[in-house]
Amino acid sequence: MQWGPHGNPISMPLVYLQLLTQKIPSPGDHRDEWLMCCLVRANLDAFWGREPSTVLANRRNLDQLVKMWREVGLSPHNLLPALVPYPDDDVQGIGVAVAMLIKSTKPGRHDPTYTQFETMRKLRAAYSNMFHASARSNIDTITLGRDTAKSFLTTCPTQSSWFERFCNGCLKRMGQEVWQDLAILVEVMLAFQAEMERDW
Amino acid sequence: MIGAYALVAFGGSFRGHEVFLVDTFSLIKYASQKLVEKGLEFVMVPLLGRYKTENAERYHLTPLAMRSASGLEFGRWVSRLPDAKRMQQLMHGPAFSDGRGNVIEPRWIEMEILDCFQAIQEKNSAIIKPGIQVYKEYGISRSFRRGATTEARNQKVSESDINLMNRWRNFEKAGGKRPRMWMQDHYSDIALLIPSLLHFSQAL
Repeated sequence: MQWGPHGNPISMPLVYLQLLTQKIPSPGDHRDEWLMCCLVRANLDAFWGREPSTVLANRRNLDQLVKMWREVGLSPHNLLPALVPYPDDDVQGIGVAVAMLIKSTKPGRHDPTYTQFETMRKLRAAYSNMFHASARSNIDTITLGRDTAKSFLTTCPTQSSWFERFCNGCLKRMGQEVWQDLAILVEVMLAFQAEMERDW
Repeated sequence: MIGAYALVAFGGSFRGHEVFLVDTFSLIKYASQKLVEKGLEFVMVPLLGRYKTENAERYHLTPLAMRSASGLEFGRWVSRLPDAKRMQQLMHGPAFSDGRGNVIEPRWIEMEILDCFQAIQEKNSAIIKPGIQVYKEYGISRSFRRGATTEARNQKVSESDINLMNRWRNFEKAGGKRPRMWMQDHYSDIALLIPSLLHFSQAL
């Protein structure tokens, strides 16, 4: 298990469940259980969005940072950013992540037991398109550049860094199966042409 | 119609959806002309549509040899299309359309082609091996393009000719930038490329 970001509500699926549903979860309610299951999964996927070695190195370097500060009498509490709880709305796109995970359990085109990541990620695009059509987005979005080359700075939840990590982790866990169309040999085309000629 | 679709897709190394861009009006126009390049007769397949990175609808012209080395009759099938459209009394719009001028459902045409492949497999397993699941493994999306490209490589068609045939963007990336033009201007430009483009369909 990797370490999650402290203070991030999604590292506590129960808290986030309450935040998303605006109610205390009812024991035995299968919908709450299903949602809880998805929140835990989304959380784990986000953790695995980074390699364990990267997370460990980060932690080691943070320990060193704190050690160096203490050598000169500085307090890490004053210098490290406060990991306060996140706002009360879904700023990281966890609602979309939950929907994507549910979608992944539905029968896919090539496998009746699951839907591939490439298909389920379309929900993210749909949400993002809708978000960018909203008044909030049109007011908040900042554009850089001119003519054809443009960059948009957006507050869309599905563009958050947590969501990026969720997608990376999800893809790593699920893998990707590519079904390529088989090449048609010229012999097949000749036989096909003969069949068509007969019907013409 | 299905025969023409498959032959155009294979000869032009098109992706499945691109073939639906073949335009009736200019198809009829080119079919009425005798097109010859260095003694070699050919037919012109005009595609009207919008490709990625483009900002308007444009024509893309692809010449096909009348007959390939293996015996695929591109010319015969392409010239049958205008006749079919005249019978439908449709002189404009997509060439692969129903009687009302609406583009044929890709899934329908795919199933018709795959039904035929299935029948070929049942008749002669030397052509399509018995282990191949026709409906699962073939598709109009990429099968024609992949097959044509592979065959062209086997027939020693040069990589630059294959890239040129396999789409405009590859050609543009290679540095041979072709300006985007309208129909009347485009022909004179494509005329310079016809010999290279014909290498591809001729070799199949």
